Amino acid sequence: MEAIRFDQVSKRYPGGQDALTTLSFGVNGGEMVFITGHSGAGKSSLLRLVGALDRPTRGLVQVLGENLGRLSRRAVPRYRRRLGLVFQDHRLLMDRSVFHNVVLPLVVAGVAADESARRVRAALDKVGLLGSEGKRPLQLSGGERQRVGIARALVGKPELLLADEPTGNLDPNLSAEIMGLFASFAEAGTTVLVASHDLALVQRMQKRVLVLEKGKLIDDFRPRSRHER
Amino acid sequence: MRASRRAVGESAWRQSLRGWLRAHGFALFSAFGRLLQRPLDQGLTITVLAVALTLPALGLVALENGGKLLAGAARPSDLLLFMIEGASAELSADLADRLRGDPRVVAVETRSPDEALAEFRALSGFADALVEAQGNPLPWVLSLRLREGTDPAALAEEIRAAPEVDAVTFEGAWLQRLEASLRLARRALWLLGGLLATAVLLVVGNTVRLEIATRQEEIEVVKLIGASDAFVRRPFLYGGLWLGLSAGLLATLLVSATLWALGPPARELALSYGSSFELEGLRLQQVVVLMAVALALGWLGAFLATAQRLRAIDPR
Repeated sequence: MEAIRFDQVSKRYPGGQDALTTLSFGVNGGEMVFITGHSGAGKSSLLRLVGALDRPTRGLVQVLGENLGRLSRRAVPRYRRRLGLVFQDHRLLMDRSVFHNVVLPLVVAGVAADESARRVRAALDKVGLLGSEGKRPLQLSGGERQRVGIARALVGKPELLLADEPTGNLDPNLSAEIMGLFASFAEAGTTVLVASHDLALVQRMQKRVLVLEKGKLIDDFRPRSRHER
Repeated sequence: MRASRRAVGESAWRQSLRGWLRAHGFALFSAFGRLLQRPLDQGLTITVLAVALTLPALGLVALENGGKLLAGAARPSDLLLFMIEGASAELSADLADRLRGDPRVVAVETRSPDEALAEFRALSGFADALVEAQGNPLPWVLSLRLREGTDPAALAEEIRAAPEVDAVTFEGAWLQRLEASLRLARRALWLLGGLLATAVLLVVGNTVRLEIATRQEEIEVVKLIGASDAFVRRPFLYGGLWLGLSAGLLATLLVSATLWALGPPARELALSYGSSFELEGLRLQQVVVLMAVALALGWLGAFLATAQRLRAIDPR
């Protein structure tokens, strides 16, 4: 079953530049896929389309069974609750505790308090931050903040995880650790889409890679490890 | 285990009702929490709102008291009839009987010169001097209560034609004027109230608008996470309700304190006119109305402020 289908998708922003042109690809459920390319190649535009933050100018974007070009404004929130979003700048609420940041999607979804607390702890446990619930994001390191962001994306048990340069501000060790975390979610059945310009890291993960250049898909491959070659 | 049993035992709408209540409870208390976060700012805003509510509320209470004072006084339709000097008790009683037969008259009360003198003596200290000088100079007096809708001036003219009648006074003129002034004051008060209500709306709206501006980042994040427009809006609406509630309570307090402070001097003034008039404070019904108005204005101000602005915030 395909989780994501792009069919001849173009996106032109007001002002005239083409962010994406006639893009076609599919991603299976439970697959982990990297999107790479230089900055400005269209990685973020692609993720914005999948996250229903923008609508395609032309073509079909079908995600989790929804035609996003036709999704009504009222239906967007319900759709977004099926996703988990991770940002480069993590976008945490700095004046709230770690717990409050992570529980937010469950509050939005109307989950009961006792169950929410349990799920927040489970999510924090997964990213190795159990015990930091009461801290403020400012008391955490950059890597820890990013992991709080991941816990927040994770806590609602999303069907699809979108991450835009999730390791952009982190050192290589932390980056590898975070990518490993994403890979483990994919193994558990979540579809994972990660935009990253860190080619070395992407190579090492040995997952499918879509390469964008100037809004076009120029490569779609799966790197092999050295001993496979 | 527990969760699945709950899912089987409850119908879908009860679950969604539960979720709805949770969402509203969350919005209600998070809005209250934010009210407490900046006590000085919010306290000043609430005071401004309370003063704006207090002014028309005090005006209404004053008018109500004025109305009560008038209701105690003679009605504008009452006539006071003075017999000629030396008219006998029988003559007065005859006239009273004749007037009782008139369909325009509801009741007739006769007062003898002695009774009138006693009343005068009770009200002022001059009566004794008056009697010593001339004997009792007061005539028999009939006071007529007229049926609703009777023209008092015409009837007064008619009665004055009788030979045993010295004078007929139509007491109502000043009362009519006073009532007209009260009506004018009431109208002016409604207009003032409308202006102040608008001010309350604007203050609440502006407060909520600032709140939205300072929490733009949070609103974007919550929208990214899948919050509906209604979810984002709800805490602001409840914030407006909390502002209205606090302002309403404070206004009730201010009105009550003002009336309490004015009570003793008003009683003294009334006593000097021989009246037992007591300044009436806020009744429960008026408090309820004041609170309802405050809550409605708070909610409406927040509603208007959020209507466009929240939709305009689209996540990056």
